Amino acid sequence: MATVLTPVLISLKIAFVATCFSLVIGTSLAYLLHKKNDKLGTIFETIILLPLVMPPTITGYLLLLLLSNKGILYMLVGNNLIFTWWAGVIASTIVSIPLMYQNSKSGFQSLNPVYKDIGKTLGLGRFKIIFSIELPLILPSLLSGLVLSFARALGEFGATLMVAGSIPGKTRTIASAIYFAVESGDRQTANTLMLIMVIISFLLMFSLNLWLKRKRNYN
Amino acid sequence: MIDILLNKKIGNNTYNYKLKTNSKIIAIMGQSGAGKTTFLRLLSGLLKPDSGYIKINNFVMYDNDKVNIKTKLRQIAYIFQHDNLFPHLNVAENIGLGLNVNQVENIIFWLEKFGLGYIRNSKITNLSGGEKQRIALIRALLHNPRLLLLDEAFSSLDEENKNILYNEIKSVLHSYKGHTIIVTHDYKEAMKLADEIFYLSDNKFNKVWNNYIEGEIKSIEEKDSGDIFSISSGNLLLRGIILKDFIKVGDIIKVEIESVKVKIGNMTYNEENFVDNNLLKGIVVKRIDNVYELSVDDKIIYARSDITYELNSQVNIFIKYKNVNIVK
Repeated sequence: MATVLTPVLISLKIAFVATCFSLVIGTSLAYLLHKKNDKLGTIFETIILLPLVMPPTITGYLLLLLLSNKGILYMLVGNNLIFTWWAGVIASTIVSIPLMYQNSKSGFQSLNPVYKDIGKTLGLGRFKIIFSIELPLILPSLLSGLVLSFARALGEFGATLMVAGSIPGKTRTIASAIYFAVESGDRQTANTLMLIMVIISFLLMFSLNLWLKRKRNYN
Repeated sequence: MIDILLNKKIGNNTYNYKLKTNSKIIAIMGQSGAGKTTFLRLLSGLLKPDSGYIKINNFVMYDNDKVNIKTKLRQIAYIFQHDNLFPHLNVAENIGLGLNVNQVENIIFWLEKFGLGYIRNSKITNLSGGEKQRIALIRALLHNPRLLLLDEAFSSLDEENKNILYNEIKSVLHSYKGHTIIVTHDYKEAMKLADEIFYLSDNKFNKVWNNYIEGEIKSIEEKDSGDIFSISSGNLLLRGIILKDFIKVGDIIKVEIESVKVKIGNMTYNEENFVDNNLLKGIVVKRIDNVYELSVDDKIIYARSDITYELNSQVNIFIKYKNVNIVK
């Protein structure tokens, strides 16, 4: 039972924390860059989106370099995070940020600037405009980004394996548990984990689609 | 009173606006790119002027960087052609945004006044174009604006809807305390709603359908009620009262007569018609809604009347002396 439940809990924990980071970082970057059409903006955006197209092992290897004793992240954090669940969070955050970024960016771009002007003429302050008008209007895009980021973080395998390894009870996630179960011939564990993963993914995507369809009725 | 002087440079275009009027509702017309919307954005504070001032009923909103009241505090309501309502809120929520809770009764009152009580909880997507603009107008008026700006607000409505709306809102616009500035390309809208119409071109607000006649002062008669001058322009002879201008016989001056002050009608003997009134005969050349273009000798005079006169028919024109104003 523990061989199935523990990886599920670890995966959910890593995915949840990574999605929170993605939400903050991805949305902030999208807000800052959505109006930038210059070269610098394009370069930044390309860097943010790179994990989408690069093999996860390369992302993992790069992170390994950054987290190693001579890496920048090691110097910043002051602790060796390699082979801890935090390394899994960092890897999952990096690969899920592009999805959060893309979705929130299209949300910001679809926002009609007239609404902000009307808000001002109605006597609303900056925060009231953001929370009463802008955020609710881009909520579908934010939620799409959130669900896709969570799903991506949950299914993350290559980069996580490179930096967090697959230590049972510590860093072994559903994805790596299935890999090692299949490798060791434990079909039952692999099948159960696969079923759990399919159910979680299906429920996530199904609820998102259902909510979006209802929400888009006003458009 | 609206008293505005604004300067703004945007790219290669320099806009200089000067407008002073007492009229409650004014309409601004003009070609695309003349700077009508820029003018409204400057007034609302959504765009910052380079210099000048904005005074509405003695309230200074902007004065050469010494005063620059934020948009949210200017009490200016702005209604655009589209997208005035927030799609994620229903009708009542849209109207209530930014209002105090104790305004709920007012919201219901205004919705009922416009016959829209039944859509109070409707989604915005379920409303017609006319309903949306009425809701935007109700929301604007509930904010008690010093200035209400309508930027092509009714352009996307069909003719029938427009006419119904004009009748509904004219008295409403007159009854609230603030001024209204309507930007439109529809002369009918301007005439139906506005007290005064300006045409913006080359950075100048020119009064539309007002009569400007240039001529020579032929005589000046002293009278207790005010000195009366006679001006001759071609075959046309007009009389007016001198208010504060220093003029003498032989001067070349320009007079302005607002089209609304030019009365036309069939000739009936009535002493009133001959006292302090210029009496002219004209022929109806053209009619645009309630504006008549009349040929008087070799001149064109614009008049407004709600009575229908046939083209080419002869009409009598009455212009009170006091309505012949010297402008230059």
